[in-house]
Amino acid sequence: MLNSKIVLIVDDVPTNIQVAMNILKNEGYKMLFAQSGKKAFDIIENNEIDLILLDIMMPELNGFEICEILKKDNKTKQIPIIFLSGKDSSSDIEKAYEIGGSDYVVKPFINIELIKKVHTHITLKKLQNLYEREENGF
Amino acid sequence: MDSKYNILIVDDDVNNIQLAINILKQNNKYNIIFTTSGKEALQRVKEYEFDLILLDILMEPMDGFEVCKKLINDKKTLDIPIIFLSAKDDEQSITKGFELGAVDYITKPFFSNELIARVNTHVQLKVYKDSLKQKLKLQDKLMLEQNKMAAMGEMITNIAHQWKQPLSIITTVSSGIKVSKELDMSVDKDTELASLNNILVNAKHLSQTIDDFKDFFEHKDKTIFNIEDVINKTINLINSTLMHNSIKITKNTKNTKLIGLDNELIQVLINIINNAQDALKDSKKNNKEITINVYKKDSNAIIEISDNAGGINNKIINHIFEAYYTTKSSNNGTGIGLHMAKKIIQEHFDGEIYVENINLKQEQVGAKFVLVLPIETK
Repeated sequence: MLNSKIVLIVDDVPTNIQVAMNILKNEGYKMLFAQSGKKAFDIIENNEIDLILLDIMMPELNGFEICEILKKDNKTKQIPIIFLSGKDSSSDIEKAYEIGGSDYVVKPFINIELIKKVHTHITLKKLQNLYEREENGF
Repeated sequence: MDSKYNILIVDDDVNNIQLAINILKQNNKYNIIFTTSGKEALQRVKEYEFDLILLDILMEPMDGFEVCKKLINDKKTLDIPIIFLSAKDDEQSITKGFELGAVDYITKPFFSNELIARVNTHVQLKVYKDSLKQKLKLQDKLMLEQNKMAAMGEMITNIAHQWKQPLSIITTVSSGIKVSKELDMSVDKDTELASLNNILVNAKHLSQTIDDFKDFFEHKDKTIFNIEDVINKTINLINSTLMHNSIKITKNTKNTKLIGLDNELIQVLINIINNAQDALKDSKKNNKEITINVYKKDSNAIIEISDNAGGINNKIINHIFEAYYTTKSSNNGTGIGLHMAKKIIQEHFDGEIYVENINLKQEQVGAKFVLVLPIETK
C-alpha cells in the first residue's frame, strides 16, 4: 500500500542524495530530489509529497528555514519532515523538533534506522489523513 | 488507570528513570510505570495494557534485547511499540535494536523534546492502529450478521418449500374426515386411525423442520461434532430448493470428528452449495450435480464440494473470496457469502479454503471448493 508514496530528498550534496536513495530504493517509494530550497518548493507545489528528508546545512535557504516556511503554509504543514544532518549538536536537534520536524537522523545513516523512520512517519500521516477524512464525513 | 496512555520505563538506573519521567510528565498525557529489571517488566505487561515501552539495553541478568525478543514473540505484547533508550550508540547495537522489532532507538544522553516527539509519534501511531483494528473487527461482525440475514431469507424460501407437501397432505386428509363426518358417512375405525396417523406424522415433520432451522440460528458453544452429521443437516436445510432446481446431490463421507461450532460449518457449506446451485441454475444443463467428498489426509479433515456447472471464469477465480465481490445481480448475491466462508474457516477452524476448476467425465468442467480443516485444534 505504501508503493505510491512520494519521498522528497533535499540536500545540496548529490552524493548524500544518492546514499539516501540507495537505502530507500527497495522500499517501494517514489523518490524525488532537490539540491536547493527553491527547487524543493517547486517540486512540493507540483507533487503530493508524503515525506521530506531535509538536510540542514545548505547554502541560501538552510533546512530549518525551509521547514519553517513549509510549516507556516496550510497546504504543506502536514507533510512530515525528517531532518538529516551531520551535526549532532544539541541546539540543532532541539531546534529541529521545536520548529515542527517529526524526526532527526544523524549522518552517516544506519540503513534500518532511516528505513524504519521513513516508514513510521509515512504510516502515521496516512492514518491521520484517514481519520481526518472520516471525521469530516467522507 | 484512567484514560491517559500507559508507558512502561525499564531501566536498572533509577536516575535514568527519574529523568525520563520528569520529561514525559510535562505534557500530562502519560501514566508512567517503571521497573528496574527485565523480569519485572515481563510481569508488568501482564498486569497493565501499555501503549509504549522505553527499554534500556544494558541490564543484568536479562538485557533489553532479550526483553524485546520475549515481548515481540508473545502475541499479547507484540503490538506494544518498544523504543530502546541506551548509551550504546554503535551502529551494531542500533541495527540490532531495530531488527529485533523496536520502533525506535534513542541514544543517551537525549534531549527532552526529542524524547517527547518520538514517544508521541509512536503512541499516536498505536492509537490509530488500534482504532483501525477495532473498526475492522466491527466490520467483520456486521458482515457476519449480514450473511446470516441473507441465509435467513433463503431459509424462509426453503421452509416454504418443505412445508408445502406435508401441509397439503394434512389439509387433504383432515378435510376428507370432516366431509365424511358432515355427511354421516361411516368410516371404519382403521381408516380413521390411519388418517389421523398420517396427519400426526406430517405435523411432526413440520415441527422437525422448524427445529432444524431454529437450531441453525441458535448461538452455541464449541462442541465435538461429526462432519457427516453436519453435511446431513446442511442438505436437510436446503434440500427442497435443490430438488426444486432438479439438482442431484451425492455424498461420500468418512466418519470424521472436528471441534468447533457446527452451525458455522453449516453456514460455510450452505454458502458454497448455494453458489454451486446458482451456477447450475444458470447452466441449463440436464444432469445438474453437486458432489460432496469427506476424507482424512494427514492430520486434516478434507471436505470437497464440486459441481458440474462449467467452472469459474479464470478472470474472477482469484477474486471470489474477496468481500463484496459478486457476479450475480443485486437481488441474488450479497458478495459476502464466500468471503465469510473463508473467514470462518481460517479464523474459527484454523483451516484453509480454496477453489479450482476441474475436468469431469464426458468433457464436463466444474468448480471444486476444498476445505482443509485441522483435526487437532487448540
